Amino acid sequence: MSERHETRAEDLRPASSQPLRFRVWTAVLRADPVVRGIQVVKRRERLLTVLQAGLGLAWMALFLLAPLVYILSLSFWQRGAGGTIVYEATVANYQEILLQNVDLLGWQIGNTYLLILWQSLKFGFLTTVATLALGYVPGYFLGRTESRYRSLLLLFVVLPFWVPLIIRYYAWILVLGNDGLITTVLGWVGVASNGYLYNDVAVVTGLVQVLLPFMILPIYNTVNKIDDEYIESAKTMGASPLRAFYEVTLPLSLPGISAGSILVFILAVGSFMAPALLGGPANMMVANLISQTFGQAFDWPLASAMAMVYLVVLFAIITVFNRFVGLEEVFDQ
Amino acid sequence: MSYVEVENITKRFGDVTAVDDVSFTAEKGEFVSLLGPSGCGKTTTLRMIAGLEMPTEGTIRIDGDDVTDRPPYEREIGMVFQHYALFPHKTVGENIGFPLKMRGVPEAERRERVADVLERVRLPEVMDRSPEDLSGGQQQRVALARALVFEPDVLLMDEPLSALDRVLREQMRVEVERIQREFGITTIYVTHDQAEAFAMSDRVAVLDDGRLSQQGRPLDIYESPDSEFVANFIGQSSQLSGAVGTPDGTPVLETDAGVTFELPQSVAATTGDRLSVFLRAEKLDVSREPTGAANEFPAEIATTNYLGEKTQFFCRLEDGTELIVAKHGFTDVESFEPGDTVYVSVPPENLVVARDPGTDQQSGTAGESTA
Ligand SMILES: Nc1ncnc2c1ncn2[C@@H]1O[C@H](COP(=O)(O)OP(=O)(O)O)[C@@H](O)[C@H]1O
Ligand SMILES: [Mg+2]
Repeated sequence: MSERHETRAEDLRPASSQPLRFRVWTAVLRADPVVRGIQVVKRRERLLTVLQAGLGLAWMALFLLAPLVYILSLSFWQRGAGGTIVYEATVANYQEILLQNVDLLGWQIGNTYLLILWQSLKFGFLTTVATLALGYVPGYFLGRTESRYRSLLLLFVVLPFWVPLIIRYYAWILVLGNDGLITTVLGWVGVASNGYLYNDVAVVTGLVQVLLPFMILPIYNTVNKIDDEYIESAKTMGASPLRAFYEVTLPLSLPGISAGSILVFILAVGSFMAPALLGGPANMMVANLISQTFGQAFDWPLASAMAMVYLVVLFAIITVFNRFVGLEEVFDQ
Repeated sequence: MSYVEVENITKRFGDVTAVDDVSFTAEKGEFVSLLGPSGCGKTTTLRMIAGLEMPTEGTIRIDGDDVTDRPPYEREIGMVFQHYALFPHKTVGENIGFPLKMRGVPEAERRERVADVLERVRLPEVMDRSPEDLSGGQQQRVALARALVFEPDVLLMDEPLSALDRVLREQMRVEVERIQREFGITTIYVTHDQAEAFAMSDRVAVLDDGRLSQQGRPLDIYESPDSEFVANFIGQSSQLSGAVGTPDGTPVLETDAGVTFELPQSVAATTGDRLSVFLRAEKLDVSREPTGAANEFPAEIATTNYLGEKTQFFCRLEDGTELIVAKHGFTDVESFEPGDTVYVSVPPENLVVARDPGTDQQSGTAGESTA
């Protein structure tokens, strides 16, 4: 105890050359109750960290895991009259969505669910390819530029996140619609057209428009971290700028490409609003079908089975992708 | 005509002049170091030779060719970067094979030449490893192998040893020099470490704040620095300034610190000249009693530092001026206490004399002015 007091007296000595205000504060901060208070808060901090982590885990368990378990069990029950649930285990739901209407002999593979799931994956794939094609160059540019407008440009990439999704899709209606931007402009040059909505192109382009930032940002992030020295050393060894890009920058930006692709793919496949607002009856995606089965048909068990199959298929695709690219590498970054 | 000729190059970044009218040369097979404190423009100079930076003014010639405006990939330059810049997504073999691949050398021959060069840098059997799995010293050798494998005209190295610890750094000094001699490659080496530059180089160019201060053999630079900056930067020395007087007919330097120095014969000085002498720490002698040697004066010990291979005496003159004396292999250090009076002496020929800035208009040959 006495030792501590000694040190404190020493500490205060050089402070005497400081202004009075400073000395007063130093004294206040070193007063016993204050010191003890700080120690308590510091110990609490550790407690707080544990609490926060615990809270996060609890949150995940409550709002992600629990519903998932509920949906899983729902999918093995049956629909009763008027949308009620009959608690009797069955695999009929899975049989229905996987096997019903599949007329293999007559080549009529008319399974609505599988067709729509297939269509969703196809849209997801097309969206991913298109956002990659459109997003790589901006991501690369933002990552490499030394322009002082970079933060401003980045802000423009993130800005759409502040606008509600539904408004962004409506904006796309204003572009593709009957009296939309495209028909108007085409009208000026004498080409009459009737709008470009309610088809698969409208859905995919809408998805691309909305999801592009999710591709640009991870690419920007990895390209930004590539050390200039790698590119410069490639050049001193005889690589032209194009060759240096192909040999060095591109492979080193692969983690960003993978991260962006996975994000965009998952978000696109599960999109609800794009097909609902921009697509026609034939452009339904899996989220719409599940929602209809839940909400209009009131068949919760069947909808749950659809959700589970969708989840498993998506998970399988990501696992295969992971085999080729190595997601650990992506999230290492 | 020299093999590498850097002629009056200047590089400005906006308002900052990083390199200011620098000229130097390197002969074929020569090892030249650019030496100077951090921020003096060494890296920028090297990058201009590599083509990674375009000079604002000046010309760079390699083997008679003006390469000033050529991009790096059209110069035959091997460069070792400070942090090696080995590609993390390629194996050691692919890294070293890279410049060969860029030159269209077929795969089989590439492997052969990579294996050969790895042998020559004494690092066999790492071809298929990832560079990230190698130690700092091994990465260093790989970087060197990669810069040498395509037999470039010039090898450039930017503080390649600075990331290594001391023992390894000293071993690598010897290694780099051996490899350079073996390949016989013209080398320009950047460092802020005087010992490193001296140990490896045929010639050293000292840079000071973007300007070239002096170039020459290590011996010349050390023994006859031609500016105050060089005298202070290279080695440990203390500076005393004063005016030349001729009390007995021969000119002596009467320093402001109150010590009078007999000047070396080679210095022609006129009464009234303002000169400085630089006292190299290890060229001073220190003893307890006066010995009657030339240029002897009393001083008081402030502190002593026993460093093992040498002992440093921090001495104070009567007016408070500090002076460093270094004695090699000195073991009697404990008998010197702070406050003791000692006698410091220096033979006139061991004095480095420079004319004070601002007085270079007068005649005399006492070294060059820095103004
Ligand atoms: N790209 C650049 N833009 C602006 N200033 C630079 C740039 N590169 C170097 N400088 C400046 O030029 C000076 C010399 O830098 P550098 O050549 O790196 O010195 P050294 O390698 O000797 O430490 C420094 O003042 C540095 O800040
Ligand atoms: Mg540097």
